[in-house]
Amino acid sequence: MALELEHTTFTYAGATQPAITDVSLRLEAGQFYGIIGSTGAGKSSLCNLLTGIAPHFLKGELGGEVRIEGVSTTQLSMEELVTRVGYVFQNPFDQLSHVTYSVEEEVAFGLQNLGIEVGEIRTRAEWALKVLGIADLRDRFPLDLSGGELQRLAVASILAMKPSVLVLDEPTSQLDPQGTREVFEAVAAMRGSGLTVVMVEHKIELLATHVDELLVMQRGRLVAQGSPRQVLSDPSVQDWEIERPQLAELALRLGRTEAAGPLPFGVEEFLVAVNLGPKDVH
Amino acid sequence: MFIEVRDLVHRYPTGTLALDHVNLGIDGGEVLAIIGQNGSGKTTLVKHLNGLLRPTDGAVCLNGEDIRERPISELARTVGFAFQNPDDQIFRGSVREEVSFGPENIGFERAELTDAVDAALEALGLASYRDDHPYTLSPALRKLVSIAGVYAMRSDVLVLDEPTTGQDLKGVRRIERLIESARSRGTTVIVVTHDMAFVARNFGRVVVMADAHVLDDGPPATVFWNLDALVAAGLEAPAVARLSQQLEGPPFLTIADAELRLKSRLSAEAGRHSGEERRP
Repeated sequence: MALELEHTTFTYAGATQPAITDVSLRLEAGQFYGIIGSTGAGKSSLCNLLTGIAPHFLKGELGGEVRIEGVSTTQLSMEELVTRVGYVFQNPFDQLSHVTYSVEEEVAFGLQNLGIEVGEIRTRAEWALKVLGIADLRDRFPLDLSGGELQRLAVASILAMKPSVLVLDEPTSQLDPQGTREVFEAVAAMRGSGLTVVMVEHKIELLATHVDELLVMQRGRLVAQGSPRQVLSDPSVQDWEIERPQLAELALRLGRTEAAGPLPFGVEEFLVAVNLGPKDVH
Repeated sequence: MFIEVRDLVHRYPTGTLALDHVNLGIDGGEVLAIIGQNGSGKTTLVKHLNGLLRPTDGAVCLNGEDIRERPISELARTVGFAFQNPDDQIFRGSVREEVSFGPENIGFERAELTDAVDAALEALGLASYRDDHPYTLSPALRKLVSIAGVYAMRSDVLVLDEPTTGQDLKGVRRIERLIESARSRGTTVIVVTHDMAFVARNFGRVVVMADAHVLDDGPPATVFWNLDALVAAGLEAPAVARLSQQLEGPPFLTIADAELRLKSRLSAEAGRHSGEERRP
């Protein structure tokens, strides 16, 4: 088990209400999880707990337990945490060191700070650049990259530290559609290596087709967890203030039932699902 | 207010050519979306409309007058501009004060000021936050505050740069309500966005930009069907439009339209099927 929360409640120092209330969940190694929910639902607070930033850095009162590979985050130092859980911010700009002159140096930067020996740094940097599909950009100046390339560089820099869990908080919010697809595809491809990925996003069309499971947060509580088709078929979707992918929503509005097969996300799936509809009538 | 962008060229000091002879006419009261990849020239283009950037060559005219020499302070009355990053423009102690700043600055009298600020807060669903400090709000709400501040100036033209970024479903609906209310006042609304479903639901005209040029310009039912231009611009029509492209009949662009169209089609087919069933 990569990550576990057991009856976890967290109240930031100075706040009167908990940001996270009684959340229990289990995230398995090598899976890609999407966290969705409206603004203020607790998505970022959940990330803060998963990465140990709360309560290590952002102080507050923690009830229950958060465990990374079986060890409570309160028993790990911040140094031990960053090598286990990588955190990618919304804006890749905030993540850059701003002291390096090439993509390759940027990826090596974090590793040098961890005191890793040169040969190993080279191997890891090479691997991370390849996984994110930016090896051919190795000599480019980081600030000359496109948004999608820059965000993939941010992910590569974190990945090179070989965390077992990668947490990304709205990593594509600054990106155009193409850059967004690049990041989703690169991240989805990484789980093959056993990496657990947790991503907060609003872009439901892409989440639905890329993640293994969706977690829905509402007012600090975890209200649903399951495969995208399972979660998005739930009639409570409207109460959770989230959107369905367009064609899933349309299929349900047209009276598609579970008997008609899985909830469609893409055009092909939709055509099959809806053509089945009329036949199922008799 | 007629906006004319004539042979507009903009080259940044770094040498990057961001706009390469762009021509565009926008009528008063039009509600228009500009789409395209990062770096295609969208933001550079709209920053010329209120003098934040000046042409390297070519011109921007408002009602036929070249605005080259007009100061930003004056243009701000005509063209309101909400930045992509709200923190570029938020600096006051309460939401109400923050939203008042723009209209106050261009000389709104007290009664008109109160009226404009209240209307803006109302339109964006921010009335209950009026006394809060902007920095106690989430980034998504702060963005709505910055948009409200620009809307409250009641300029003839309202420019929003990626307003839906980081917004949840409720936030997007609030922005849609604001656009609707601006439209009903006769305001010209120009929105730069990456959200294609949002474009399909709210805009009568879509301008597609790629590599410093305008690649396509027309109603969404034309633009989202021009696949060559979309592919060249690295874009994709919303899922419902892509479905429509696979089916016969007139185009549909939104879930609501699709539902109407397909419901009647499905019930017609179901009727035919049950008719067949009854045949011996």
